[in-house]
Amino acid sequence: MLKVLLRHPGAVLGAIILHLLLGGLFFFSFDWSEKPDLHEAGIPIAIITEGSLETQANSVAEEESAKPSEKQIIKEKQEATDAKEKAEKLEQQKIAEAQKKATAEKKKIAKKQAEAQKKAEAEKQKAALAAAQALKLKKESDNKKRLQLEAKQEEERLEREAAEQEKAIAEREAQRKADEAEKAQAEKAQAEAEAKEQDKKEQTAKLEAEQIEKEKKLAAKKAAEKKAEEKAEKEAERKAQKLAEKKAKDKAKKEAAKKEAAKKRAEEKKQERLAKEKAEKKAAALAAERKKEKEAEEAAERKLAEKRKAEEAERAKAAKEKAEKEAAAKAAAEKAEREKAEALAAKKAEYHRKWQEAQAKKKAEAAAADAKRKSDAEAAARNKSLEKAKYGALVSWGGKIQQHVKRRWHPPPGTKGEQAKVRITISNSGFISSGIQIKSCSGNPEFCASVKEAFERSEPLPRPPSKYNLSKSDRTITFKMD
Amino acid sequence: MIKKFLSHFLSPSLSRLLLQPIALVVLLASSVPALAELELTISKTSDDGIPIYIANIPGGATGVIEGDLKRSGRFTIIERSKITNLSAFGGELNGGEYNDITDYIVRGKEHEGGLQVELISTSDNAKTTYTISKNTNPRRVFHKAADKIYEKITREKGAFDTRLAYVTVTNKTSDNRQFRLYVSDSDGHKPQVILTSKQPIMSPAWSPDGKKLAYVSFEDNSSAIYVQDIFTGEKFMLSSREGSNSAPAWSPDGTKVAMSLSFNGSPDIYIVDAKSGDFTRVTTSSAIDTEPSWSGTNSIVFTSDRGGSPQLYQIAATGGKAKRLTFDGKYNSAADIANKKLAFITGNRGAYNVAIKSLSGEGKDFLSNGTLDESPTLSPNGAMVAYTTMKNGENSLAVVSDNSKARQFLTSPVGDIREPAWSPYLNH
Repeated sequence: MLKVLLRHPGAVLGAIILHLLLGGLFFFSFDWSEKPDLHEAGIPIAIITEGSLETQANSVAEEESAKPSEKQIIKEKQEATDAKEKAEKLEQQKIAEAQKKATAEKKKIAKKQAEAQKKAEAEKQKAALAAAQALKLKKESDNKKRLQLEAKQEEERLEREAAEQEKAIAEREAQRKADEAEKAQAEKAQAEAEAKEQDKKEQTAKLEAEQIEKEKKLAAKKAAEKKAEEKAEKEAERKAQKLAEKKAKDKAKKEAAKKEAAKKRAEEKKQERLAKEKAEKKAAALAAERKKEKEAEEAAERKLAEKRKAEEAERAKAAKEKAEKEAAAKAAAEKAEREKAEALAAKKAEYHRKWQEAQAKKKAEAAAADAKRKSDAEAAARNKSLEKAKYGALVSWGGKIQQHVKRRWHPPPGTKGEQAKVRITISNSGFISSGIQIKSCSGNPEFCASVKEAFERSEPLPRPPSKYNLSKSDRTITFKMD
Repeated sequence: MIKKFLSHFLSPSLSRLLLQPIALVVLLASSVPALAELELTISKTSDDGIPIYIANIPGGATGVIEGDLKRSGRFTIIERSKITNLSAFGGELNGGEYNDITDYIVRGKEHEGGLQVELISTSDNAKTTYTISKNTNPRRVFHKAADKIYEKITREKGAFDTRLAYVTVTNKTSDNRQFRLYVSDSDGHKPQVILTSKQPIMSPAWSPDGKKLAYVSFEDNSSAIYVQDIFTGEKFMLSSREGSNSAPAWSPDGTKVAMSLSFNGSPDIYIVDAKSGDFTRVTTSSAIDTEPSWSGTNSIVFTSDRGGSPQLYQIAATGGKAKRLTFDGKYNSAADIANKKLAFITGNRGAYNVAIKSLSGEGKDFLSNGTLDESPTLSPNGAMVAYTTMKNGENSLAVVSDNSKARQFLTSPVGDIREPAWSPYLNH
């Protein structure tokens, strides 16, 4: 209430002033000088004091000099009573009017207050409505936000889970790959070592074979040398033969030993090959086993993935159903809202359409006016241009006529300074259509006649420009002949 | 706004009444064409004539026609190189194609010893064809063609097929001096001697039919006026009165010859009947009255010094009071009249020049600018003046157009040329 009153200080001030006025009226309506019930004594003697005796005497003297009759006194008394009554009545009327006015003012204020209250209430309601709406909107927004957050969280969770699973699978896969790589590396290293050993062995055998071959060649060479020496030295030959036989025997022994060693080596080689084959078979079996394991792992992973997928599908289905439900609810709410909005929109659209129509009409009218203005301006410009071109053509044509007539004018000799003015109208075919009018001629008749003859012998004159539809006035020319 | 303004002071009906005429005036002003009636000035001082193109005509006609038209001072001959693709006589021709070059095109061809010419106006493509019959003097055929063209275009009769008569003097300072009276074409060509004399021959004058010449001869040691047929050579003496017999002039009807006779004392103008030789006195002054020239059939213009200096006067053929025609300068004489024009010699600061004036007008135009120009004679149409002028110590024959735009010195026989006389139109 106070707030409402504070909002309208003018009304408050008006009310205070009105109250003060009413109070003042009430206060001044009393006659404070009137003595209660003393009028019955007739003369107010009780208030006369000693100090005011002389004045009283004078006053008495005056009263005495105009002393009224009893009738008059009664009449005056009556009149005084009437006047008093009248005054009282008037005062009462005034008070009633003031009261009435105050009541009306009060009513007005009350009305104003009621209106203000009503307005305030309406505003309050409006504010409450707006607040409720805002709250609702906020709630909706919060709800929406919450849902979004939940969805986001769910999504994040799912993503996290998926990422974890993927991570685990990747780790497992990486582990498996690392194991495989390690294994393969070990196998490779073993195979390499084996191959190296084999190469070494082969190289040794090769070297030995080469040595044997070398020795063989050397022995042959030596035998040949010995044979030659046998020829040269017979004696020594025998000794040598003996030595040679001995040496040969040693050599055969050596060769047999060597052969035995080679045989041994071949056996070893065979053994190695067999071992290698065995190792290969073992490796193949191992690889097959690993492959099997891998397939089993893959199958397990597939199964896990399928399971995950099924779970995800389940979750998605649930989320979808939930979302559908929510969507349905939302859709219903939205539908209601939409319908409401549509109705409002339709109303708005109708208004907008009407407004647009009015605008379009206005625009069209303005455009039409503009186009007309433009077209008028263009037409005026065109006319102006045409007029200009026409004037140019006229001047050019005039020049031709001027020259044409000038060449055919033979004024009589000795007529220098004499002038004539001739006006002619030329037809479209170049003939003078309305006679040669000599407007003025300062010379003698012969001179004037020569002017006329000049035009007569100039016919046909150069034809007017056919491009322009020249009027008769356009084709009328005045010549000053001097 | 005006309406609003007016409505402040006037009643609506009154303001409407005032507004309506204002609106009408505004409307009329806006509908009136911006073009005012054309006003052009044509001055006499024009240098160019009517452009005309003469196509090449076999037989030499082109040069003669061009020379004639040029001499008249009314045409500008267009150079032949300006038009090169012209069709021959009678062929298709679109005049408009040449309108910017020339006003007229002339084509011609020889025809039965004569000539056929066609004149085409380039402005309206109008074509006029003329056939000129043969003549013993082929140049006359060409002059006649020029006359036809001239007349068609200027609407004035051409005077190219006319003749000039003049006197030449050879060996003038010796005893063998020879005077010859010549007759030639108007352009000076075909000069023919019709009289030879050791005594002076003076003042030849053509009879109106162009067949006879009157002249002054001193063959009997005194002046006498003879009339000679130029074709037959027959002649007779018209006047050989005491004193001087000079300056014969045929009346337009050819029945009379005006002359200056001094048998009565001072030379006066007389009219002598061409057949009977009877005479009537025209002037009676004590001054020298000479060089009569007929102005129509009833009036004679002559030179007289009755005013103190030689001036031109006009008097009725029946006599009476002479009217002075020239007031300008101290010397005006030797009048010749044709087609209402009067050519004469006027002295100005020691120079004597040919001038021309309208017979009824007062002003004059100078036609020559020599120091001693003499004996002007007008062509019958008044468009040209032949006169003698001092050139290299001898008199030569010149022709000038009346507008002084064209001047030609004519080819002439050897000798000092004197007193040319232009024949009338020839009817034979």
